[in-house]
Amino acid sequence: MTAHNHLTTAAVSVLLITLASPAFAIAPTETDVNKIMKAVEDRATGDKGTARLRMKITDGAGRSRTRVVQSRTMKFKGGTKQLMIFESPADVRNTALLSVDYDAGAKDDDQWLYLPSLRKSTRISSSDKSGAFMGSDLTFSDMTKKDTTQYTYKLLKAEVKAGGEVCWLIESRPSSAKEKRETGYLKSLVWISKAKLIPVQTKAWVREGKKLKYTKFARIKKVDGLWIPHRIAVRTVRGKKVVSTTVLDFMQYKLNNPAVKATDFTQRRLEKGL
Amino acid sequence: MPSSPHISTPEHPRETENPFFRRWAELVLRFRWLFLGLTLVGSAGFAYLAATQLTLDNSVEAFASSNSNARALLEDFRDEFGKDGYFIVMAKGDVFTPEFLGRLEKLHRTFEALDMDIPSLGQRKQVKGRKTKAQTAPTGARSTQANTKAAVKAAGANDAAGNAAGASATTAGGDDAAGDDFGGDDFGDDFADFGEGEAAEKPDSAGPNPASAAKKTANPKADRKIDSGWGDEAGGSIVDEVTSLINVRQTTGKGGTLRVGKLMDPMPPASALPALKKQVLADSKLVGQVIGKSGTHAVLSVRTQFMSEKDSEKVYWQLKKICDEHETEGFELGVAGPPALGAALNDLMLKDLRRTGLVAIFAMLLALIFLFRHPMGVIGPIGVVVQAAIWTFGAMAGMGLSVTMLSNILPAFLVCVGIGDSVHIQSVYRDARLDGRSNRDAIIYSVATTAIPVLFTTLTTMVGLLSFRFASVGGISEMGTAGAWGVGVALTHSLIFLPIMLSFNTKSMLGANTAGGDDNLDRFLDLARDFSFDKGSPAGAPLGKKTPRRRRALILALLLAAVCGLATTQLNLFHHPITWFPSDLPVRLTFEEIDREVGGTANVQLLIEAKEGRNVKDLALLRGLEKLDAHIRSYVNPVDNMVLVGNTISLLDVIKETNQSLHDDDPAFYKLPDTDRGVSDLLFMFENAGPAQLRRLATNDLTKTQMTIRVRWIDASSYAGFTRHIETGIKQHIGDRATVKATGAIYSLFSVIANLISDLMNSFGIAFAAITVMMVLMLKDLKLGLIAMVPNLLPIVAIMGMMGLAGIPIDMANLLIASIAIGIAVDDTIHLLHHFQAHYRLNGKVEDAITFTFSHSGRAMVSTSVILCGGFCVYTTAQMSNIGRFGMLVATTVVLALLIDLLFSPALLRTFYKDKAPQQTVDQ
Repeated sequence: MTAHNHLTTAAVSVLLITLASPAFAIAPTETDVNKIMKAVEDRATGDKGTARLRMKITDGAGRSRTRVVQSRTMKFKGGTKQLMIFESPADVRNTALLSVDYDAGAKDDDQWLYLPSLRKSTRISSSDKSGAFMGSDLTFSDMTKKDTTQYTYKLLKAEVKAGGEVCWLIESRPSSAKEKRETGYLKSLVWISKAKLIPVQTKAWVREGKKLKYTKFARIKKVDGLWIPHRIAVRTVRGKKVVSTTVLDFMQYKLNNPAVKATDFTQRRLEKGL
Repeated sequence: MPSSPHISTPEHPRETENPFFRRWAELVLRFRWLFLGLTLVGSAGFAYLAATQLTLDNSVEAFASSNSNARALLEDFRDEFGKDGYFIVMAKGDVFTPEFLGRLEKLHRTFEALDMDIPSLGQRKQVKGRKTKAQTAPTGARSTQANTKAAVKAAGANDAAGNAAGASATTAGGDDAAGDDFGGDDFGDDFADFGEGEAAEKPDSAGPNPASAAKKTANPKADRKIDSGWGDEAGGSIVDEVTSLINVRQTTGKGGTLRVGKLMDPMPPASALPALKKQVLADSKLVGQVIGKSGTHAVLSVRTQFMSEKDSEKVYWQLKKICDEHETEGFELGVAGPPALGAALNDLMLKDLRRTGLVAIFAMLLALIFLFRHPMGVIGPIGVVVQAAIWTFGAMAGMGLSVTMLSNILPAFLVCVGIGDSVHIQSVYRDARLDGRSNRDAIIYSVATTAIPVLFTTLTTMVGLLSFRFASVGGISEMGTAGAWGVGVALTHSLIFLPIMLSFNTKSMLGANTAGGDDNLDRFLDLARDFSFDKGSPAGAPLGKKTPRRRRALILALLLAAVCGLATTQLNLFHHPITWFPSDLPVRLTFEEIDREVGGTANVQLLIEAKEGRNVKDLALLRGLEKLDAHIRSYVNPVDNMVLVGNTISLLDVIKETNQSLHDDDPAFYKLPDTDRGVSDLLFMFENAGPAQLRRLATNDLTKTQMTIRVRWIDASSYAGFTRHIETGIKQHIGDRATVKATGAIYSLFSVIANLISDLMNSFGIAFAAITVMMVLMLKDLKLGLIAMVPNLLPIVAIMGMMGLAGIPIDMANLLIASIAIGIAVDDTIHLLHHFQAHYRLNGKVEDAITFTFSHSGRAMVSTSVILCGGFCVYTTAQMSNIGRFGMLVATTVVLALLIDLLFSPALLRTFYKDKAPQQTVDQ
């Protein structure tokens, strides 16, 4: 699974599907941390999702940059496809990414990038999962569905409150050096809503440069019966200094959208633009 | 040889006592235990401060101007692009072999995983009075929020139709897109609360109710427990990035697929290495960055965040240790780069500090034993100087000043000054004891008659040092402040600690010449005094045939001034920190080898800011930068006739590289695209491939970018031509499309060199003017005050002229000589003229007054000069060559100042003063 596929999987998986969750998949009194995490990862997700996504990245000096993307995803047997077309600003308009994320970890993901000035799409191959997605505070690995067998979990608090939700507070550590290297994290704390079975906030320890990354999931609303956060904010901090902040906002969020068709995920559609 | 009355008369004429200092001495003796206790408590306090808080700083910044435009620009650069200096590790051997590359990878991984306790990680030394743009966490969220709100508001106006949002946003200089239908942007403050969370409601409560839960917020301290920052988590790395052959970015395009990866991921097989070597050595972007031109030197750049000088030093030693552990035959390692330079200088300086401090004190001990022949004559002066040094370094620690290569000279300098004060007081004390005074009376008399000239000399030395406050170099300015404080402290201890110690002496004459008769010193003083004495010609007689000696002395002084004054025009500037190290020191050898084989360890940065309403994606601007890049690379250093620039790194490289990759690696496409949109697309592409690299090259909103120019270390004044070359290129190729300014720590240092001469002139001019005024005020005699400036100024002109003739250039250390020398020269002159004036006022006879002065102060003047000379000669044992040269020059100045005072001052006094009725007669 390559990083760029994670990019697509990211926006798709995390932003559209993986965070979607039916309520009450596990008892709120559960204290078996592995069961909790498995339930979170295995929760039901939707298909044929569409959304508009605004990504705003603000650096430590307060300079910000905003991009708006139209995204659609669809599952297929063995994986997920995603198409992202940049809407604004004008100088990236119609730049598009098409990715295919295979469920089988051994198989490399595929990604094509369409750059309007070249008038052709190019296949992209990369292997750096710990790299930042589009210069944001999110890495490609953040956007990848986690294999719970690669992690060890510890229930720190059976009941805490965060973001107005009653949560489990769970410590998560990659158990293999490979996972550690690929994610770039030494460990994470995850606050998981008992009611919605999705994370409401996380704190991650970034090995490189001893940075900390805080993530908040907000504006959690039901879409087609699934809980979906409509805002994700990530802040990277070193010592007492903010390195950067990324805020992702979603709107026009739809699941099981009949407008999503298999023909949306072709190179021809990629090159057509908005 | 005609001779005036002998100066070594056993009867010492009385001199006027200063009533204030008489009372002061009485007070100190009456409450000696109280004063002693307070002094020792103070010393203990300052010693504690020095031991716990004193820091060393020989970073490039310590010697760069703290308030210049160059420094402000450097700070702007750091605001945007972070730390500009990083460690460079050189690995020497047959690089393209499996063994070498295996070792290189191991070393690379070890650096990547470097974890140390660095308390100051991420903390940047702040320039006084300046605010950085960086936010702090978590409160910094507010500024982000404010910015975001403003951006959203602005963008929203353009986004009525949603997908037309960015149409006008790019013209605002950034990528700001819009969409107010995404909702408000009020997230920021939520980061402020990242504790364990609020107290959970009981399961049997009314269910999740945010409003009621908020009221039941748990103990705020408990909430913050989780958010205690990094905590004690192990396994993190203090290193942000290591760049070497192992991981240098490689973007290739083949068969319609773009591969973004690392050069050696996976590690190539042995059979592929010859081809890889050819490919790498042909890549102008890799040669000079990760590999030397001959393929025998690999380079690893180790980047960290800002940290204190002390912590940076710790990292340097850790890197050295790792290198020592990894070094094997055929894999030789060395550490260089600006942080390594600072750390290595600190190490060398500390060794020199210990050595020169100890040797200076040992030399003083010998001199004091020789002069005073009794432990009581040694304990007092040594106590004065040791405490002066402790109080000075303690105060520096308290004021947050670091010890630099310049303030390194302070201990030995204070030893000299403190000893000088003590010797003058003890000499008079000894003579008073010889005259039969009781111990108490002798102490009071010596303080009451000597304190005024000692105070004057202290004040003038302080003025000499304080004149450095006007220097633009932070290290010089701070040294001036600390030195002035130290000199003042030395005086205070001379007037408290020394009398107390002498009060414990009941029997010793402290080596007084009780047998009478002349010794060699007396004979030398006789010769000096008679150098301009014409028997039969009264003082004040016009110069002519009857005054051959006086005329000879004055002509000699004039000749000296003229020849040396002319020779000062030959003075040159030179500043090259690498040459301060001994030539066989490993760190120097590493720097020189990287310079020679790889192309440089020093960086100059260009900060490029697009004009308002534009950004750096502007194709015309990029084309201008391309020409500027070629212009800069073409510079040939006229001194060695070699190209100065080893490599440049800029946005141009990533755009061209990406363009080539997107065209199946066709070299014909290693160029800028033809349209603005093409630039935008390529940057978009690269942002996906290497966001961290892009962030180091351009700001988030792409309104600013930077170009790093790696250059060889050469003498800083030789960079003047290079900086002019850059300026010309900016004017020719950029025009009004952007503001381009050269900066970087090294560049900032170069720019200081240009100010050295004006610094020298400013500080010396201020010192000279202030000391002239002080002399006139102290002596309450305009004529005598002006006469005094001749023996004050002449030694400075003489030493600078000698430097010009000997080809010794002015550098950061000997820049101080003029101001320090005037402070020292004035001491002799004040002692001489003060006693001359006092006796002349009383007795009205010029020759008698000169004789008395030589008798009263001559021995002490020679003694202190010998001590000062010896003290500064101690520096010649320093490992740092510039410090050794500085010591030798000041020691020479001390000798010159003494000789000029003893030989030429009497000639001037005999010319401008004549005998008059004694004061006692007038009073009668």
